[in-house]
Amino acid sequence: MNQEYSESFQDIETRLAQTLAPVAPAPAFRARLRESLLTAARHQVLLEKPSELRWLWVIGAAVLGSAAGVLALVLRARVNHKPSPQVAAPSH
Amino acid sequence: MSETEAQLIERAKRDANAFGILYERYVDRIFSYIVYRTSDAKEAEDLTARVFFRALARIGDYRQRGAPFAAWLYRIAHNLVANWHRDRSRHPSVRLDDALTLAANGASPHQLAEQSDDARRLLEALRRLPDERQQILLLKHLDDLSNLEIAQILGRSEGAIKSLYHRTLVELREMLEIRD
Repeated sequence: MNQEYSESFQDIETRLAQTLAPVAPAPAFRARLRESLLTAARHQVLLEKPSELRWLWVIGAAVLGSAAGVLALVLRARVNHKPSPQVAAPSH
Repeated sequence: MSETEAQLIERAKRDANAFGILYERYVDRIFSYIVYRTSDAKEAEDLTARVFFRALARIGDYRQRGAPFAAWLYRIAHNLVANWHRDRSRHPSVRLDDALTLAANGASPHQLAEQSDDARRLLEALRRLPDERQQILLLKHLDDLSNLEIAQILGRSEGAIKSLYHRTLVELREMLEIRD
C-alpha cells in the first residue's frame, strides 16, 4: 500500500518536473529592464546622499552651538572672578 | 575572498552596480514564476519589472532575518501577482499557451507533440488548485526550493508546507485520474 502510494507520488512529481520547465525572459526585455533599474538605482543613491549630508550639518551645528555655549560660560566666569581694582585706604 | 550574498545586499543599498548583480542573479527565476502564475508573457514582463523596481525602492529597509533574499523577492512577486489577479478579477486558469510555448524552448517538435498534451492537462489541473497550492508546486518544482524556504515565502511553518504539499499531490493526482 505504502509503496503504491509513494510510486503514484513519484509519477506525479516526475510529470510536474517535466512540465514546469524554467522560462527565460526575452533577452531584449532583460537588458532593457537592467538599464532602467541601474538608472533608477543611481538616481536613488544620489537622492539619499543629501539626507546624509543634512545629518552632518545638524550634528556639526549642534557641536558648534555647544562649543559656543561652553566658551560663553568660561568667559563669563572669568569676568566674574576678575579681582577688583585696589582702592587706597583713606588716610586719617 | 568572494563577497557573500549578505555583503552584496548591504552594498546594493548604496551601490547601483551591486543591485544590478542581484537583478542578474534573480530575474530569470522571478520571471519564470510569474509566467506560470499569470500564463501571459507580456503581463509577466510588466510584473517582473514592478517586482524589481519595488525591491529597489525598499532594499534600504531590507534586513537579514534568516530567510534568503530570494524569499523576499518571491514575497514581493506573490503580492503583485495576487493584486494583478484581484484587479482583473481573473481566475488563474485563463491562458496556458504562453507558459507552455515559452517553456518548450529547446525541445524538438517531436518531443513537443508528445509532451504538450500531457503538459497541458497537468497545467490545467494545476490552475484549478487553490492559489497557495499552485504556489507551493511552482516554488518546489520550478525553483527547487526546500519546504523551509517555501514556508518563509508564504509565512507558514515548514511542517504546514510539507503537509500541504502532500495533500496537493493527492488532489492533483485525483484530478488527473478523473480526466484520464
